[in-house]
Amino acid sequence: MSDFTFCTVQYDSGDWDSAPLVPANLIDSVARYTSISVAPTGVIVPLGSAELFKYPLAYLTGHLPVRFSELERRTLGEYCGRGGMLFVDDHNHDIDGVFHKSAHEEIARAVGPLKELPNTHALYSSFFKFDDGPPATTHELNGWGDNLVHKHLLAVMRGDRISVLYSSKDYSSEWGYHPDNKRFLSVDNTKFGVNIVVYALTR
Amino acid sequence: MERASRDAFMERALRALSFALIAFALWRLFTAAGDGDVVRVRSSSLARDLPSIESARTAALHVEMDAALPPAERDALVAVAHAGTRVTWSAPRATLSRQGAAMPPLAAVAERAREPGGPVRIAVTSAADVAFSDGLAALDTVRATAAIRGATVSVGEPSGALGAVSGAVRAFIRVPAAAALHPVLVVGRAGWEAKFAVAALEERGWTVEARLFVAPGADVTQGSRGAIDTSRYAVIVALDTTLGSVAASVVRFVRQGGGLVLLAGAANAPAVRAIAPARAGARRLADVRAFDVAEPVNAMALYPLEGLRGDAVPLSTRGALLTVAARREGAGRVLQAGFDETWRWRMQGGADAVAAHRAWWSRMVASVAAAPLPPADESPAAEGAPLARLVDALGPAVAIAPDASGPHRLPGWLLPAILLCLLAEWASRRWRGAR
Repeated sequence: MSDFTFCTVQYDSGDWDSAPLVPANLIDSVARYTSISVAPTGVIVPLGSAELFKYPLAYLTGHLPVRFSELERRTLGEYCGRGGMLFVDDHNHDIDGVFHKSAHEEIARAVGPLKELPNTHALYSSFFKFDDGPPATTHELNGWGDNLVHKHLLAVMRGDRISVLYSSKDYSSEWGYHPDNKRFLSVDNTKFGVNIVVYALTR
Repeated sequence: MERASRDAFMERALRALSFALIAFALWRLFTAAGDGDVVRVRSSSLARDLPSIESARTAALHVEMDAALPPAERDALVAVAHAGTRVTWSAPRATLSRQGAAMPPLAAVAERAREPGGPVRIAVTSAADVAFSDGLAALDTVRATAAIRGATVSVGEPSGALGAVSGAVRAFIRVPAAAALHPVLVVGRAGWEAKFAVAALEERGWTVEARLFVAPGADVTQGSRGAIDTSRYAVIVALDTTLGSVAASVVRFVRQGGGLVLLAGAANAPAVRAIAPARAGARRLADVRAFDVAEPVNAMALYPLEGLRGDAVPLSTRGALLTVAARREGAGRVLQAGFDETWRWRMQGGADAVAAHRAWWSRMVASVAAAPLPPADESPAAEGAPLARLVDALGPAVAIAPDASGPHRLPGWLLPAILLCLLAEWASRRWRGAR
């Protein structure tokens, strides 16, 4: 029996499966750095399904427009209302892009408006220390997408807890590689993903 | 002639006697009772009659309790008794409640739940229906069957004085001030159970600190890392066998009066094995999958309690399995609940699951929380057992003879005597043939 199972959200519109390597990579990192009992493989759960409530942390990404059905919207609202946390990452790294704009709208309708998360938030010290806020990605530094280095993540808060965490930094590309390739990196760039998981499991 | 004069004399005597009796009746009607008479009053009009009673220096006073007697008027009767008047009382003859107990032995006491914003629980005993109210409105009613034995009613924060009425008895219940509760410390592995236990308690108003194990040498700490003692914490909640730095202090903490909640298999941790109510058996899945609104715990996985200690109290079972037990250790209390993954109730339960999960966690913690007792309130307005106080002050109820006289009441024999005299006088004249 595992304490944590990585869950990827499958939604009706768009390309929800655009980052198939991210789950395995983050599972590897959580197992590598922590003593959290993590399931060796992730699960894929439809957004409108009651199964979603078995996984209080879920990951959603894509390139294409996001349009939730009424059931998906209702389920997401209930999920976050009960204490679930959704991590959304724009795989385009483009704030003028269709994913960013449509996802913002749908999240606002289902849960609430996204607001800037301070870089002093507990998320950035939940396991590893990120004194400068969210770490930059190679896509940001290479000028891809919107050619911006986003200094902040966005969040919908429920009290003092993050309900939806939104990234325009394209962590889906940053973490989309086989875990064995970590040995070629001087710095493991998935450490922030560990922070997200640890934060979700403790707050 | 001699007989006629004798008859005439008797007629004049009877006429004089009847006039004398009429005069006596009129005198009784318009004068107060003198020494030797029992003055009878009703409790509903006692406030109006007391001044005249006190000034008349009555020899004996009897009070019929047809309505609740406020403490101030009862104390006034005690003062009258001390001044030399013999004071007695009786319960009303009329049946005032469905159960026929017109003046039941009502006793009520309130205590405040040891949780933030918790309800006020009133323990009550009576032989008739009891209606509760505060300064604004009626709150609740407890129906008596044969008699109420230790019924408990929970009410929210009362506005103004809290009272209970049963028949002709009214109690004024003292509500203790809310206790100042220290934080709860949650310890265990980082996981969904830790996340949702902390969330549930915080959302119910508890201050929560946490020490959650993530990796060797790496804990996630919420709050301070101060000493573990009862001046800082009210309760320690152990979610599993991972106690970390708390292990060395938990037994001393409990013996000094702190509370300890052991969830799932936490009772098997070496540091707490000696004080746990039982050991935790092998984990079992629930037989049902859905969280039933009435019995949500039936859908939770369980570490059944086994080998219950002799001084532990079993509190809850699921079939043949013991699920919850508690025991005292020194000045503190230990509660063991074998349920695992209670967070699934919150996430997968029904529409009320979030609130119910919060309430369940809050009750568990409150049941063992160390809380200083609020100062005793000796306010004279508070009176939880008014009948007992009345008996203590004036003695038990007595039965007064139905023909006892009193103010404004004529002896029962007077009117027949008057009529008899007048009738005899008239009959004698008719017999004699006089007009």
